Amino acid sequence: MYLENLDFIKDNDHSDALVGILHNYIDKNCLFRADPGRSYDKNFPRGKLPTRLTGNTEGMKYLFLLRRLSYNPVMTTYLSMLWMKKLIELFPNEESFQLGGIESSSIPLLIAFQKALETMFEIHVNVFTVMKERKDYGLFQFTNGIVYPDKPVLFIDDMVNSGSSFWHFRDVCEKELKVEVLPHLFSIMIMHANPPFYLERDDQFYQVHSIFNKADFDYDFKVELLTTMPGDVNV
Amino acid sequence: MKSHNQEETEGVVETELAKFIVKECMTWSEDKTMHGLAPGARYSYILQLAPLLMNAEWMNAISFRFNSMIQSMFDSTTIQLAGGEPNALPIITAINAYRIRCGLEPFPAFWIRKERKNYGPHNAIEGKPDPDRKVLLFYDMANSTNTFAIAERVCDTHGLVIVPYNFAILNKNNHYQEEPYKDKNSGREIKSILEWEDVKHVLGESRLYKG
Repeated sequence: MYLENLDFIKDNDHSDALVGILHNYIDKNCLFRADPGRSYDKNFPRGKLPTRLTGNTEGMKYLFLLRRLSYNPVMTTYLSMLWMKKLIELFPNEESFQLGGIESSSIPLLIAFQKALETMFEIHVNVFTVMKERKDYGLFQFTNGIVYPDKPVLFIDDMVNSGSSFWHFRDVCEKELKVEVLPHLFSIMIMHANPPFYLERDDQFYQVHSIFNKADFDYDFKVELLTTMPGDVNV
Repeated sequence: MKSHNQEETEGVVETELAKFIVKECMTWSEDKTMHGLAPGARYSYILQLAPLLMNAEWMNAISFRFNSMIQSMFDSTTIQLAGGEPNALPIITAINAYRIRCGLEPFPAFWIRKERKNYGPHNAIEGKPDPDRKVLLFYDMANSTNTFAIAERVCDTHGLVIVPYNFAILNKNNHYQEEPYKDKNSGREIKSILEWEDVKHVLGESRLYKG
């Protein structure tokens, strides 16, 4: 069934167009470029976003707001189609897996991907999420959703930067849930510029399959690419 | 007006949904050892709808029922969906995926944070609200309705207008099904796919449930 799907996808491959649409959407809606003439903080030079906005101590010229894409149903459908192609290429015979991610940024991506797999290929996959911290009441659990320990899990996230979200996810899955984490992860964006991308720890390698990488965007401020920040008043 | 299909499934879906919730979403502790958030609070059961929210088949059924409910209530081009993180995220994503699958236009959507982000843009809202559309709030469960109150306050501060109804999958407040349940804070009617009475009906035979 999977191999038939691969043929179908190859025959109906609109990947380039979908990547183009997603790139335009991110460029116009999800990438905030600092105005070089504007002071965002008295302790920072003009045109640099301060630490309180970006988390970066040296200040940055730009900030990604990828949740705008994650919360757009049309964009997540396009994204799911690209991931589906990659998934079937990577695991042509593997039908027994589940999808996982970290709350709450990955939830819309996971649900959209799950729906796309179900709609297009009638592949039913289980989805669960891992919380950043254990719940402090009730069941004191780390996860939301049902977890099947006998099925390996594919990690999905919007952005891979240092990989800390993934390592947290992997630790919870392997130590607490006893679930195998597949050596591939899917993301929209990775903040590195030279493929192929791997996360490595203790001689274990996890390949990151990202639609975009850092080199795919132009970070210089342009008036025609002016993106507003949420609550962008006195940043 | 209800479709023939909807009339046929009404009642059956509620019962099966209630059974799923009792089986997959409720965890029991006979001796009330489960701690609540309030100091000293102990519960004999915990109800968390996450297994339902992550279940594609049930979310299809819920999306179908929701679309049927709102068909006669709103012009779909004038509303946008919103809810609180994290539990409204899978609901709204599933509804929009269902609409795309049916060839319907998906709703614009945004999410309301429990607390403002403590870094970055310090935003209370994630996503891009459409100022020209009214907001329809959808949550997994209407319980204390505090979550609705927070969402309503955030929408007010952003100048967004909310429709007169709030939606939930399960209304956990006890009330007679013939009477519409209104939120004590805002007076908005809460419309739900499932009433707590439906779940109680399934729980009736459970030895653990004590009302």
